[in-house]
Amino acid sequence: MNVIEEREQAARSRFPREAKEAFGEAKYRANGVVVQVVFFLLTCVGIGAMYAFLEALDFDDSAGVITGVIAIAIGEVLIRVRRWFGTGVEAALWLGGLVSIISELPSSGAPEAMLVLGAAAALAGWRVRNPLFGAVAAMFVAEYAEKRADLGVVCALAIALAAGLLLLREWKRPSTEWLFIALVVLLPLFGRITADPQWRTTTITLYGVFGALLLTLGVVKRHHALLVSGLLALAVGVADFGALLDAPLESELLVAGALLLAGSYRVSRTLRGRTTGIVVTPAKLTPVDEVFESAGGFVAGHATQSIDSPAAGEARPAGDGRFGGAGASDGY
Amino acid sequence: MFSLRPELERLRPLLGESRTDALIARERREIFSIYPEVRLAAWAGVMLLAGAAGVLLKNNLERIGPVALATGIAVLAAACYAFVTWRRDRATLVDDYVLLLGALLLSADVAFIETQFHVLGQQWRQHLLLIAILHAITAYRFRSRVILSLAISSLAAWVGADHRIARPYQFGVAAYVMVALLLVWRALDQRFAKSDFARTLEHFAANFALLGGLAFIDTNVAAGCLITIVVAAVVIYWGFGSRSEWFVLYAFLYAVIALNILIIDAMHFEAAAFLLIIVSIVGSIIGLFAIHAKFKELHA
Repeated sequence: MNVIEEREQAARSRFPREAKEAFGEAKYRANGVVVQVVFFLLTCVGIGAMYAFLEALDFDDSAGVITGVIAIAIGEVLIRVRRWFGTGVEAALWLGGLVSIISELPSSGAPEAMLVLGAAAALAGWRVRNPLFGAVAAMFVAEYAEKRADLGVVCALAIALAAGLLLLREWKRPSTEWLFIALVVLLPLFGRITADPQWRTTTITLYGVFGALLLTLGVVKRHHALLVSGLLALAVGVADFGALLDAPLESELLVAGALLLAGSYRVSRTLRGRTTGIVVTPAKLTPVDEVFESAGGFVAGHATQSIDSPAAGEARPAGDGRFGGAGASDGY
Repeated sequence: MFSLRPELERLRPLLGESRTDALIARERREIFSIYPEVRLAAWAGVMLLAGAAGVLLKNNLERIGPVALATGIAVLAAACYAFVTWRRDRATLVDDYVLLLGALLLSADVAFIETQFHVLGQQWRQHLLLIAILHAITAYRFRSRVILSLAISSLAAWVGADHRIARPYQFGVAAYVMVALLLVWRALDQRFAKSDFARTLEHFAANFALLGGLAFIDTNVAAGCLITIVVAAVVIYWGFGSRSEWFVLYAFLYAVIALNILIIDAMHFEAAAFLLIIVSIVGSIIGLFAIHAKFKELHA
């Protein structure tokens, strides 16, 4: 898909009727994000079944290679002949195909295996222009840096910072923009997973500086990804700082929660009624915000009202109540 | 940064002058809404505070005492409700989350009181119904879909449609009781309240019905799978009737899951089973594309 087609596709997703009239019929078949995820998962199950099918037919040594070659070939046919791009199917076929082939390589446990997996994710991401695959590739590189030189956090934050800076210039392809968004948001979170406890003070400092910088850039340049990345990095830094203190867990949660709620209240009050510049007029982050909202409410309710109790229909023995409200869970 | 300015200029004759200008202003970030970020921060704050309340109740029982703890949490919950009620005419988007905090604290407090004081004795499960009713009233009073979800969550726990309480078979039976209750609720809502909660109630009913079917697989694989497939067919029919693609999409997926479980159960992981799974996946993808195209046609 060339630059013009990709840009027209982005316009189509926002203004389907007008774009169809102005640009004509879409040359490529694409889906929305949620449908893409569904197709991706279904295709992954299909690839797994293909691998298992070949193994059941005693192709033990070559099941991965055959599955991989078939998957990539089907993916290419779908892209070139059927013109599928952004359906979720071709992305799963490319990634699943490469992973299947790699699964046949002899494993030595060397850190360099991370680079092989990263290269596979990068190649699949480049071919189908999937930003998440690009982020996964970068995560493998950060993991390699962690295993090889204990520099996972530094590597992840460096990649995220580079992506954040690259987001400041204008990109022609939406997929390029999305790649940098995925990197700037996901890499700091991944970096924290690789962080070792003995480097906690350094981790706090790095995340504090990174968070402050990205938050400032986000406000100045008015970019959601930079804002979200900055906020997440600061949250990681604050959480790690809290772990350094010898304060009770409930106090830490209380302070962090109160600060977040009070901060958002202050911002929403300050910006209420504004119609230009930075505003708080309703805008969607995803097409399925309401679904997340309802699901979030259901899960939160589920966690809060819990009494660890006997099986349904059974009576509770006297004095056997256990309380695990609001995510806590313990018995007395 | 990515900008669709050139494309918007090309669409100007179709979008109209004022709409195009507004959209270009957004592309230039002259208008930049941080609504999602503020909501996310408020939601995270509420979750942390509710978590703090849970840990507080768990870790400080002996130090503070149950009466003081229960009273303290009740006062905080009441303060949240009072704050939102008092500011209703000049509410900000954060008020929804203060209300959610109040509701979560109320849930935790009622559960804590029941655990410590056994107010309802052997009828202890009724406290979940009490919470569900309180949340439902709040949801209607403040038109809050999140609080409605909390009410449904409590109602599900009350009827036993809760994986922590029930075994799979019991969960299945309770899930269908839940479906009946939700459909009655929806009918009453449409008859008397005419709120915009009908679709949320329908989604929960559909998912409980489909999950209930899958839960029966633990007892009888064939029966559970067939129930799921039949329910999925009903939900798909409903989705087409109500022109809602979501119902059709997830019902289709539940049906595919049930079908594949049925295949694996009948053929015990043999080559033919895997071949059938591949065929079912290819069929599902083609089917989902057809469904998607049909809905595009319906909405055109």
